[in-house]
Amino acid sequence: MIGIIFNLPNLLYVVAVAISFLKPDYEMQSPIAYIIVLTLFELAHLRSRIFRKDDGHPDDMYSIIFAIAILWDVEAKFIKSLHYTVFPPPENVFSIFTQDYDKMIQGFFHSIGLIIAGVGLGMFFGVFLGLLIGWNLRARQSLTPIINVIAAIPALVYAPYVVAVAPDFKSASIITIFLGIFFPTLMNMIGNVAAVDKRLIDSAKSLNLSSFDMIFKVLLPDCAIPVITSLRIRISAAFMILTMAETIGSNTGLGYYVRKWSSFADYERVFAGIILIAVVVTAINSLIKIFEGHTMKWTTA
Amino acid sequence: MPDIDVKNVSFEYEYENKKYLALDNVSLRIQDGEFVCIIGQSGCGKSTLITLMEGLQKPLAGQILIGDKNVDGPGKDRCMVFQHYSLFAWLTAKRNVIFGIKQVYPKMPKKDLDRIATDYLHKVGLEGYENKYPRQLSGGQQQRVAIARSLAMNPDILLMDEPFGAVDTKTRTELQDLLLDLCRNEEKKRTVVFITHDVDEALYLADRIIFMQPKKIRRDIQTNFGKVRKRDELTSSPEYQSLRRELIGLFYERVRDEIAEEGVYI
Repeated sequence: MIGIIFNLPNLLYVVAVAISFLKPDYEMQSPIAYIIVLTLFELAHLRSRIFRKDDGHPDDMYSIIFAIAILWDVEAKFIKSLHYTVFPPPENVFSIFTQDYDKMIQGFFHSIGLIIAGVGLGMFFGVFLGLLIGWNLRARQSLTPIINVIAAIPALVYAPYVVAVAPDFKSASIITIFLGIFFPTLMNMIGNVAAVDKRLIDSAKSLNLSSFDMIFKVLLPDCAIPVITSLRIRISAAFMILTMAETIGSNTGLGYYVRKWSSFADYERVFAGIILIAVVVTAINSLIKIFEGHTMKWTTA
Repeated sequence: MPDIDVKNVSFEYEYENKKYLALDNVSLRIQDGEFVCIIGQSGCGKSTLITLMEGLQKPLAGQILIGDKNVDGPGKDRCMVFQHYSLFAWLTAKRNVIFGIKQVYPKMPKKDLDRIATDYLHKVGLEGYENKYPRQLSGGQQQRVAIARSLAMNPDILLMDEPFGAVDTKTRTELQDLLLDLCRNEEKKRTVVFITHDVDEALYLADRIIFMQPKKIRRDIQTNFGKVRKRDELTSSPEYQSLRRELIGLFYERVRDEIAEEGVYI
């Protein structure tokens, strides 16, 4: 019981909350949103203390989180190596969420819809065509060099072009994300199929499989692990592409939010937007991990 | 049921732009219902011969007939068990067996698939392992699943390429007994072609032993040990001992020849 109360993360939490009440020599927003965030971390810390099922060192992790919060707060309010408008204190940054939540939610749904459409289409066609091309030796040998060159072009390079040419911003973002996801996925998938163990293929052939079964019931599941693992990287890539696209031609969305406020030099909102994107990407990655655990039971069972 | 007729078959491998002859004008007729072991040292072409019978590769010259049909790909009349990697890692033991049955009987109702798969898994001694994934099973258990799948597919011909090559000695003797048991007790009399480099395994299992030296068949021996075999009695019998000496003699003769060919003088 004593261990649950007296430990380093708890001490740092109390210090961080105490510092949040101290006033700097400039006008500051209410610290309530910031204290709520700190308290959420504290609750997570207590949970890991009480149930003790987490691997690794949760105490160290929460200590580092609170220490960063304290350093950030002290720097922005008292040391001030950077002016507080350029490096705003956490109280101000988190209070943005209470002011701008409606725009943020709207931006979130706008961005997430485009991401799901672009990544979904890109992954689907990349995997599907990758299986077909990878399985056909002639197609594989003649197309791989071409696809490798196209896949090497960063989507960010042609994003401005697509935004300029496409009829509206929505289709422009979906096309850019699609292209940015499709070619790398296609390239990897062809490589995965080419690398499938020959003994597995012989074994499958000896069962008399139709080409359809061979491709979708043997090659696809055998290549599923790298596909699902790459999904996480692809989503991050998609966010990068979308943010880029939104900065050029949109009037809503998470990337647009950050872009717009940084041109107005409102760095509190820029910080808040960056944190929001980090939270969204992390949440998506956690969802993928759960999905991975369900479909990939056979690799870990 | 049909015989397997290997007629003047040759086969060449290509490796780094050089060609290697693996089989040179090999002929062999395997009678329906025979249990044939093909034995020989590594690289003698025995695995090549069985992959040609399965239809995974095509002969360079000659042909392989099953009954009066030319082999030009895997068929429902044949089923192959490999040394490694026969099972699909993403399917449970039972789903693996069902997957095999479905290829032969695509319209079988789900209930029957389930029942037959469970039956065969029990026959190979895997009660309680139906829902395990391959990586949860030992090497010997995985081979049991592979055997169950092959038998459940009900082929006329069972082709086995060193199926017990990667399991320990105790498991190997268990699997040999299991295989003989299954071949004797099934209603259908199957032809089995079994590749091994283990003389005792061949003697214990086979009705007929084909000894291969590189590219060719060297000897064709009928064992005449009968169908019902007791390991201890068999291995101590004089017939077994003399055949064993002969086969081991063939192995060593090859080694001597090879050393002489390479110009080493003892």
